[in-house]
Amino acid sequence: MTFEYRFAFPLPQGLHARPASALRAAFLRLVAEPRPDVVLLNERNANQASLGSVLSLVATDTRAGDSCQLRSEAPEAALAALRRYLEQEFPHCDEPAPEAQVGGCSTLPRPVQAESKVLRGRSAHPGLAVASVCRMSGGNVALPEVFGSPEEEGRKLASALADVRAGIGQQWLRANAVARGILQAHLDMLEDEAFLARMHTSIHGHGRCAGEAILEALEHFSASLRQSNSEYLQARVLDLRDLSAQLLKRLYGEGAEAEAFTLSGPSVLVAESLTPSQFLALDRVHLKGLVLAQGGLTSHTVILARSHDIPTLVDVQDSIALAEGDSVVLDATRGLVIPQPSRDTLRYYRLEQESLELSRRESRQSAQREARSLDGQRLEVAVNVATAAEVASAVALGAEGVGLFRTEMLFMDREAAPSEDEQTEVYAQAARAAQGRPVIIRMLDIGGDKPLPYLALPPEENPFLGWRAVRLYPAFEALARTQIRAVLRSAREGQVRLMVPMVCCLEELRYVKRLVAEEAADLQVAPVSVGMMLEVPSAALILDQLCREADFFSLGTNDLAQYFLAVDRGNPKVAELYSPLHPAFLRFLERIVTEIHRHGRWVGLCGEMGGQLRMLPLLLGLGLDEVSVSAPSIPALKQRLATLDGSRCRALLDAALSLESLEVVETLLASQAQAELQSLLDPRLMRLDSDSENKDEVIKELVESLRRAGRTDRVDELEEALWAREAVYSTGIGFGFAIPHCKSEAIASSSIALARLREPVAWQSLDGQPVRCVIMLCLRPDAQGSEHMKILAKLARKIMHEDFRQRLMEAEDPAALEQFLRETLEIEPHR
Amino acid sequence: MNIVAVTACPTGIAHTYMAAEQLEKAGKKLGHKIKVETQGAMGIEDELSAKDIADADCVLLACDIAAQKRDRFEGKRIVEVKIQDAIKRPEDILNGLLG
Repeated sequence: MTFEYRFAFPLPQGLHARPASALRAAFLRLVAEPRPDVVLLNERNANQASLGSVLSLVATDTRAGDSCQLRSEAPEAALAALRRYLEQEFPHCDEPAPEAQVGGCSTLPRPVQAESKVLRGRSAHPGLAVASVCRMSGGNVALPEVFGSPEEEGRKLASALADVRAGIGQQWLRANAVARGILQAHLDMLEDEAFLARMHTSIHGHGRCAGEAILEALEHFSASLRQSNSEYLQARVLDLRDLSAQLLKRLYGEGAEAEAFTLSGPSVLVAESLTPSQFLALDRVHLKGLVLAQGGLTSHTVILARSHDIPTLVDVQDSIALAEGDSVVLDATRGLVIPQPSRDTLRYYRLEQESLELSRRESRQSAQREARSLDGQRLEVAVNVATAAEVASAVALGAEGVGLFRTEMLFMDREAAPSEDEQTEVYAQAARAAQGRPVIIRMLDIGGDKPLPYLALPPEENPFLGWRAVRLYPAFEALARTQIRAVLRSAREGQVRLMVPMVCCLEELRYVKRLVAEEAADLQVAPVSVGMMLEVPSAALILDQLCREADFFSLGTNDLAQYFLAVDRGNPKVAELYSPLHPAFLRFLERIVTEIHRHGRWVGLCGEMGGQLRMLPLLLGLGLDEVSVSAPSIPALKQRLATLDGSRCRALLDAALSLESLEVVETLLASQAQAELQSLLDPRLMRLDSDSENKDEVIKELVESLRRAGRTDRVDELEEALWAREAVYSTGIGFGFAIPHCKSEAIASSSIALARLREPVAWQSLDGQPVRCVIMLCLRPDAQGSEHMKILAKLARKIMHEDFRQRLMEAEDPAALEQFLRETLEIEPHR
Repeated sequence: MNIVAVTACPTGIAHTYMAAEQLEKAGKKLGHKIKVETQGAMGIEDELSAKDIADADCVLLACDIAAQKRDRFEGKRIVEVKIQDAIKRPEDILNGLLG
């Protein structure tokens, strides 16, 4: 052996089809012709495979942490690039493992408890569907009894392979990104050396027909996959079956396996299992849910279902009980299937569905509002992205611009730098998706830690303090000019700005500005705004000079804090010292922002602290113009911002600046969050014309209103706590009133919710009379003896008075009712 | 009549206070002197003093859970009722204490 490289297998989900495809692609790309054989040896189970065969690689049953070797007769130098790939890129080539959703909640929703038949499964993608059952079953293949010579069969097989490849190519055009990844893995399997060789031997060596050869190869590779203990590998059998079925269909016409399948109306599809291509062929307008008897959480079908937001349950026992055409409730969130649901169950789920839809609509609306504090202070909320494709969905979530477009992805994992045209198209795409909102494109920030084959950067002892980012541009000026030209050209598609990373002195900024001016003149376009990342502390002391050159600044607080505190946050021994809440660092930020504003310049923040809700009061207090965060954080950040008061936050920051340690700053922030606790009352929790028909529905309705008001995200737990109290004895107190109540961690802030019912509802009350008004009291366990509890106690006493009850029944609207309660209970208005 | 009472319920959020209110209201209406101690989620409030207890003709416990500091009432006449009854018919209960 001339080459031997040992490593622990890095991917948490093991070596399945997608990383195996990636590994093979890297092998073909990085190892020059004539390509030597390179073998992966798994030392745990002694399985081995050639890097050229995806199927053999998958069949090595390699799991996370297995000790592995790459071996080859080829000289070390020929494989250096491959080895670097394994060390640096391969560990990041897979998606994170899907969260194991626990199917089946501890208690069933009340009306479901009364159902005679409830099936359980594992939730692969949550959601709710009410539709009809549509069953799908696979047929068997009838192989021909007469067949041709090995040469003829070989030709037939080759043409079937070509047809299937072309078919996948067609699907590719209509597929989303997730589906494309899976289709690519399928294409690789079709070209798999071991798979092809096996079929070839069947036909030419054993005189079998093409169909038999396919089935034999399927059986062979499936058996080795099934043997593995990994659910992930077992799920790959489905991919093989999918391809075999497609091949057989090409060979022997329709009917070889499930033929084109149509859904005539809203359907929950029930099947033993479903292949990815069957899923892609379904009419997704009518597909409301998937119930699979087998499946596993990691099959490609499940990944596809997730990417199309189809509620999906797998491992459903007894799915045979679901008959074609039955109405069915699929509660994929709780892991339940309820065939032929009762009227109560349907009403319960309809209520939940409407409530969820309502909150989706509300959050979409609030996402599109301008980000401002309670007292109107503007703080733009923008998004950090690494690809242009992310911009559109971020805008839908409420991003008011792109605060940081990291362009490194565009340059990595390739042989040559992207061309000017290619870059122009990417930046233009981002600008178009931003629809007139600003897009800040950061120039290439790369150094010795992320080597690019076409830059040949020397390895460095300390790349974070080394030759990187703007410091590289003079040596690679063509590269910098190309990127600048692409940014300038994309500027006609929107509001594009250019940001320079790692600036530590004035000359660097002047240098880039000169390039921008020259390229703009050459292209005969106006120069774009040029700003800088503020991440090197030295820049903070020459802001008077930098403000003359920079149009804007963005605080890169991750690196800024590391450089400022001299702490490598990746080093566990000192990581504790790393926090942007360090009083010294807060003072530093405060001086920077004040100084930049004094010079009339714009300043944003794009570090991780921007996404931390608890730090938002400090950022608002700093008076930043913008904060740029990852897309999923945007809605919550905008919502929180709307509850904060700018001047109070400024006072909070001032208080924090004078504190003596990180711990005390954290304590201050925690007490601030406590003080912001919402009022007990909220007009959104007052329902004056409820048409709930029974006790279950009233409780569900009020709990849902608490969820929509952001007071609970654990509705089942809260309902359970309320019902546990009802089980002691009914909270119907007579006079047509009931006061269900609980003490529960599931409520984020103690709350009073109220429903006046159109029709009286039975509540097993003390006086045997039905109930017309329900007042729900939810107390946090830590609110014992608090101001909130004092008010609830007062409310309980008031309810004993007829005139009080009368007023509750007469209030004209939620606002009037809230006002009346506020006055009577002497609750201070919410600030 | 001079009555001291204690109310307490499982969660201490509602019935404790409703029962106290009902007993106080009924006492006033029927012309009794009544003092009610609540043992709820606010802790013990309106706590009965040794003198309150010594002066009382009768101790009324409207508790669904064990009353705290029950030993204070040793030697006194104690009447126990369900808290739901105290809410539903407080006047009947007070009248019953006379018998």
